[in-house]
Amino acid sequence: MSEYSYDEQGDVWPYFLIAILSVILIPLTINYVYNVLNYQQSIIKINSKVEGSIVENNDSLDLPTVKKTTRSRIFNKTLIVIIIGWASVIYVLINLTKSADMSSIFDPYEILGISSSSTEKQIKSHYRKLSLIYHPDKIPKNLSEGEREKMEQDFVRLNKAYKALTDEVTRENFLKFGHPDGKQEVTNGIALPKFLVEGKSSLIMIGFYIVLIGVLLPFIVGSWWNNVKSYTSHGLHVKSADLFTKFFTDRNPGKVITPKFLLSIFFKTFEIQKLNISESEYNKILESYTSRDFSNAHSKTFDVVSSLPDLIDKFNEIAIFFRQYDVILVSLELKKSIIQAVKFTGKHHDILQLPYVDRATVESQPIKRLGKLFTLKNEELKKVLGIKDDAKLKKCMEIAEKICSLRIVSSEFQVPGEDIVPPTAKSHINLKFLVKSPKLKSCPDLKDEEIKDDFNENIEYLKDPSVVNKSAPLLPISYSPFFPDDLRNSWNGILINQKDNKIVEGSTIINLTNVDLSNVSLTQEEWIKGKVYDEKTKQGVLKLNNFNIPVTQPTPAGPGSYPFRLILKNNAYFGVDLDIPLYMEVKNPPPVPLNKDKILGKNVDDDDDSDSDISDPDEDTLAGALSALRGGKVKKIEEIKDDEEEEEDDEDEDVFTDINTDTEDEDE
Amino acid sequence: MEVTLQYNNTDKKISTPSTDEKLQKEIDQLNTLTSEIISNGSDVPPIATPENFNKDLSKMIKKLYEGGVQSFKQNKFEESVRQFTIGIEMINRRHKFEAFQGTLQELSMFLMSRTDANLKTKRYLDAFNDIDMLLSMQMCTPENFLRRGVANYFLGNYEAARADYQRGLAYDPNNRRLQDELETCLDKILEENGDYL
Repeated sequence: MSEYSYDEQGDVWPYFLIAILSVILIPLTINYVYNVLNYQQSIIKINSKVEGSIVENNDSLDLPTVKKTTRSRIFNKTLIVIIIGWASVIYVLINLTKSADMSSIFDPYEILGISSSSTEKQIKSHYRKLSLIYHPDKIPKNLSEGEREKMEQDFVRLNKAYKALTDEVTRENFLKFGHPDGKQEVTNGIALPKFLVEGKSSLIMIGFYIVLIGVLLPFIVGSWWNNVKSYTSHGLHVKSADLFTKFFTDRNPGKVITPKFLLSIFFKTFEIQKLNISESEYNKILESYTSRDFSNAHSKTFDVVSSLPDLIDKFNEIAIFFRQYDVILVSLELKKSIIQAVKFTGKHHDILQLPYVDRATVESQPIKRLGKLFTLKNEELKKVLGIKDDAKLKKCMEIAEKICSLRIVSSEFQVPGEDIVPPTAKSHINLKFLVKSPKLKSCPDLKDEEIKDDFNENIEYLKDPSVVNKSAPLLPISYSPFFPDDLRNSWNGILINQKDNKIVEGSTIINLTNVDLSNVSLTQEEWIKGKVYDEKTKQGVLKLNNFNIPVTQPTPAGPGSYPFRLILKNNAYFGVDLDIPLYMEVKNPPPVPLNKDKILGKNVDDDDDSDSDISDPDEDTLAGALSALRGGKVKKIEEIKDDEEEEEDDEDEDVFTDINTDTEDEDE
Repeated sequence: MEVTLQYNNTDKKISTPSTDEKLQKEIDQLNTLTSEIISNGSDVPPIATPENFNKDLSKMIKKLYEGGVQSFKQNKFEESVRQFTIGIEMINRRHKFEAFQGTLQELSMFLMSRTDANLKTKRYLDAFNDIDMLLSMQMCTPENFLRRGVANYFLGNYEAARADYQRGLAYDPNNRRLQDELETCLDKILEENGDYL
């Protein structure tokens, strides 16, 4: 006894086909459209919306770069597949699907054309009206046989529907089986012709299922799982992660880390190894790329160059666990060299990152900083940069003036809701800075009340101080005409504890991603005389940026001054890095007698004196212990100094008394 | 990695045809240690204690050091560098199984003084190498940061010099010399950037 009906007439299989096609086509199409839209968002489009950004790429500057070997993003194989797929869906829809017989689905309300909330009275009156139209006796004589039959059928359905809603028996049938006539025959259909399933060719189907379930499915799941397993949560291949970790654990502290040495480590990573190039090819690729020589670029140049910054980021994420900041500083510098296509060593990077400059000319002269360029006249500039063309020089300087640095106005440790930094509290570093173009000189003298903020009144800030980091617009895409990918500009950095000269425990790479760059276009006059922009009055030109860096460790338990060093390096530009000393001044909060009274449940007025009596010795002992601690430390330092300086004190003075005269010698 | 190692029975040394630098270095170190044990005459090297530290050598080294300081005071800086270099050479020749603690103390003294002499003779790169080594041995005194800062300053690494001075100030915030040098260095950075002074 077969309970299945096969699709011998070919009625149902088109639906099956459409279902399968749409499962494939819809994700494919969405993906394709997304890619096409992203392609439109090139550096030019994104950056022209960001004030103060450099809206140039290798095309607009007419500079060579590594060409991507991939196909066009609009006309490719995916498009053909999508077009053919959708065309066949439409064809199937129009030509092959026969209107399905839906008459077995019975909804009395719909047949009667009333809402399901109608009362019995309404149903009755409506039925009467309809039966006047459809009653066989009322059918107009001039209708054809077919139309007459259809109207008669309609009348039967109408009757059934009416009965289903009014008659007891039919109503029960309807509620139980969903149809007024009682139980309906249920058929299960397969959208395949019979010969495929029950004929001799059923072997094909069995074979098909075996391949699908026995081979294909395990293979897909297996390879997916393998893929998941072989990459860390940061997307680094486990072999590479292993390599990096080994490097940090086995590192010889006497060996100085150089960019070249780091590159030789990166060569061994899985990401570079899978490109199948030899180490000499790898070095040659990097050599010709950093010389900005694209005349006979190796075919793997694109892959090598574009994978390195990512590898460096992941390398640093591991380095920070080992708290070795020297490696991070070298690797961040290396990343910049790769993004700007300049040599890994040398002192003229600031100028060499500009377009059109001649390397040999720049390296043979003493000027190293962008700021200095803006003090020179055009003729001198041509000599320094080795640019002959006036238009090119102009463009070059336009770009130079937008490579802006951060001018720190104030930097301090803060604890939300407190005026001081108390011991064992969760603190953060608050940086306030102006954006300064290299063409601007000196720095405006800002008054304290101008830079003061009122964050402590903001409840969101008290919950999470890093909310202020997002208030400025996102930084634009970096100007990097030689680098084949578009990268968002950002400052990345680390916080170092000066005492043990290591990265603060538990910290991650600090990322400064939102900065208001609009001050780049200020004139010298506006820069020096300007007032800080006020949100309420809309007055002032200087946009003060805020950046809060959470400190992962609680503030120390004892009061004192704790030195830190904050380094923020730009990911693409040279000469705009930040390296500032910070002092965390931990103080004990002043005693608050009111609170203690509340805890003790005493009357405030009566116990004022006795309370201060209780709190005073408390303070004393704490402070005493702490000063003893501090005293001990000071002594220690002096002891060490004495040991080493016994013989040396006098010669030390000899050496350093005339340093300044030496400087003058050098300058002359 | 598979390498061929040859053992020479007469001088008890290991050699390899491999040109791998790292391997070569390790074999050299091993050979030095074995020859030290052999020359010592016993199967096991003596336990390193401050008591069996070679005092005679210490006296000689001390003398060399004083000589160097003397030359320095008489402004004979070239001579002073030479004496300190000989001293370091001598420290290097110390028995490898002696207490390293003592060796380290001597070495740091010499490196510090040689840095000063090198700064005087304007060999800033040599000075930098010495003081950098000293700092990596965790001799973190404000004066040592001052020395490295000065070396960096004259090598033209103003940013690095500034960082050194600031780190020195982290140890001793009121050190006048560090403050003055930092001031000079910051001015130089501004000047290099074409900024108003």
